[in-house]
Amino acid sequence: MPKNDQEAVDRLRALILGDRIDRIENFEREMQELRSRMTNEEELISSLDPVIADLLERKINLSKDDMAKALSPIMSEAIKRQITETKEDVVDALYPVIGQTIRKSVSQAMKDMVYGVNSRIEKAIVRKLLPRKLRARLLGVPESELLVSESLPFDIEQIFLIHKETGILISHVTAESAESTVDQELVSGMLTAIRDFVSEAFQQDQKQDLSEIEYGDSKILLEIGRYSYIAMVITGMEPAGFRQRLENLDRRIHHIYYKELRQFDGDLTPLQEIDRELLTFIHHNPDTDTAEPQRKKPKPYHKYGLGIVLLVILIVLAFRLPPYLQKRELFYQVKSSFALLPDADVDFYFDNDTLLAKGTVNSFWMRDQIDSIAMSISGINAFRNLVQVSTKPPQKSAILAQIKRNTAVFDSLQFYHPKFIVDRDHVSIQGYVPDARIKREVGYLVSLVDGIRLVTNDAFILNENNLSQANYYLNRLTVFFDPDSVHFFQDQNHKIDQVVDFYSNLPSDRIKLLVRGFAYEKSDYYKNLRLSQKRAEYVGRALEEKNISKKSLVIISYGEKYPLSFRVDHSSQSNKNSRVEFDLITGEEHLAAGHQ
Amino acid sequence: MQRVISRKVCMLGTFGVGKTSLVRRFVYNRFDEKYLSTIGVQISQKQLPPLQKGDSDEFVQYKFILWDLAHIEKFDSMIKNYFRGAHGAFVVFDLTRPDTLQTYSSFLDPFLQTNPNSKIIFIGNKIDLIESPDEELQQLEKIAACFKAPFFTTSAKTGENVEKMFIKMGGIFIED
Repeated sequence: MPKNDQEAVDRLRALILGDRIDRIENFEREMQELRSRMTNEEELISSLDPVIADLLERKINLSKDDMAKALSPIMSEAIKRQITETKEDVVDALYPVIGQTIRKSVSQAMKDMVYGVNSRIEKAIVRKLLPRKLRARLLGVPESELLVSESLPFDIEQIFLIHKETGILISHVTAESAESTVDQELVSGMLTAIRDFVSEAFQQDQKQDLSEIEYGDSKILLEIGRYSYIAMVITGMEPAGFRQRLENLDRRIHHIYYKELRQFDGDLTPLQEIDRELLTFIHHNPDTDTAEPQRKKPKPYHKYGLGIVLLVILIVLAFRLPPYLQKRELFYQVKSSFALLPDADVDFYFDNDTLLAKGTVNSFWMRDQIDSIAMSISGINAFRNLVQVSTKPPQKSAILAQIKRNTAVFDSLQFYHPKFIVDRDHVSIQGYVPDARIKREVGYLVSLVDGIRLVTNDAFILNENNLSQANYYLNRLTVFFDPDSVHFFQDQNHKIDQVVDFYSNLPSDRIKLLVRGFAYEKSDYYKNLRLSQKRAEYVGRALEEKNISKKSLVIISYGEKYPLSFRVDHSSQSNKNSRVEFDLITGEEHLAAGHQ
Repeated sequence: MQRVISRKVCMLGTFGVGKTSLVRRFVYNRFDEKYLSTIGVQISQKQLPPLQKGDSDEFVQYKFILWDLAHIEKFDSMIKNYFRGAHGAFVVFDLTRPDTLQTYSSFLDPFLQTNPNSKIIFIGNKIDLIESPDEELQQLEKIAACFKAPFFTTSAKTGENVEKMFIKMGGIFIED
């Protein structure tokens, strides 16, 4: 268009539109701007952002169902795609919001459940008395819930004991696992202030105390006493009955420190021991995880494991026990069979079905004895004698022990009182035995003892019907006196002891000890008779002093009768007449003796 | 022999007299001041040096638990709770605002009703801002005389007499 034409058109527009030209131009500019915004994504978002949220909210409020129906296909598809494409980004974006929400929600649900269970447990008296399964049934809660309530973590972190009126900290203890970085004095002051604030601000009519403050996963439990209160910082769920224990702690502290708390003026010296009470509560509280290590309860699979082990043991026992018992019985039989042998150094044991003997004996004869005894035992299928023969002479004590074992079979016999005197490889048998057969057997058994080459059997026969050999023995124990004296020689004392030893071991009360006095040094018959009487009585008293009863003694004086020598010159020969002799007599003989 | 004794001491005074500044000057260990506006109290703690008890061998070290009470007017109904068990109080005035010397009875009376045996020290704060404080000093002296209590002029800004006023409170406790 020529320049002049354009100018003409502009003039015409001006005539037609007048002042609306500016408005049109503005409109065109705005249109241009809108167009550019629509095409520019960033600009479009920033434009719609302020209004879209309000618009959506209004729309949703007005017609929720319509909006849901309209958006559902798009939203679900968009969300699906977004999650598929950028899963991690979505999780990161949602975590701060949803994570917190879920955590809170789950935590609250758990708490509600545990409170419910705990309150039911509190009302019942079955806690700890019955197995969980039974308790759950009685309480009407699922066992799983009961298990959860009992196994939720619970820790006491800190305990404050605070003076109720001033807020001054009386005592503060911390669990080993917990850390306390804040000044406890300030905490106790602030807790007191908060208590006062809450008490005044919210409970003007009812003077109820603040009982707990919750923050995050922790909680401050407050137990208000007469003069002080306990603030206990805990984590986790407080178990059933814990509040009661806390109350008891407060009561206990007030009971022990009542006077000190009542008169408290800020001086903590009289209250220092309270720390121990609080620590004891932490460490001996059965509910806490920070309590001193408790005996661990076996886990269920441990029970199964234990059951399997027991089953295996039972199976093994079923197969192995009867043979074992059989063998043990056989072993006892072996032990008793060898009891009479000198088994000091010989051990017996089984190697499978073979009986083995190991050790040392002092003679080949003894080794052969082991062979013959072993083979005589029924049930022994095989025997191996690994016993060695020692060339070393046996000890005296070993010989005596073997003699005792060999002759033990006679120990219960009456009038069996042998004495075995060992001198190296020689044994002298003395004392008495009831008859000649036993005397021979004893001699034989002693001769079997390892290392014995010579046996002298001087034992005499003694029984109620045969006292002669005993009397012959006693005659050797005649006590001699000084001439004209009623006292025997001092060197005769050992004879008195021997008589006592011999007589006191006799088994029969019917046998009496006859004490006969003699004197042949006076010309006067009666003087000799009196002297012999006194000598017999003197010996009788000496016997009595050594516990021979008076009833057992028969004292007889013979005077000058039965002299062993007719000389009266105080020579060694004439002294034989100054004597007291011993004899055994039975009751009947006693009567006869009395008549002499 | 030395004992440590804890004592609750309240900081009393109307808004802006400098209670918190005095505590801040004296102690370093304290709670965040936001508690002041939340529940009307801020707790601080300060341990005095050991003080000898008379001529004896006994030394006492006082641990002051300082209750800085704010918005006394706002928390009027519950302020009495905060007073409970207090062993002493600093009644703080702003020497630059003579009206603060007139209104002390609104909180001092209930304090003394709650704690009749409590020890009081009157404080004329912001002395650094007064060129010739004669008139204010006379009035402060009068008030202190009424209660037979000592008084100090202090400056939280320069630290003048701040430590002394706390030591004095310890001295009063030990003489009691």
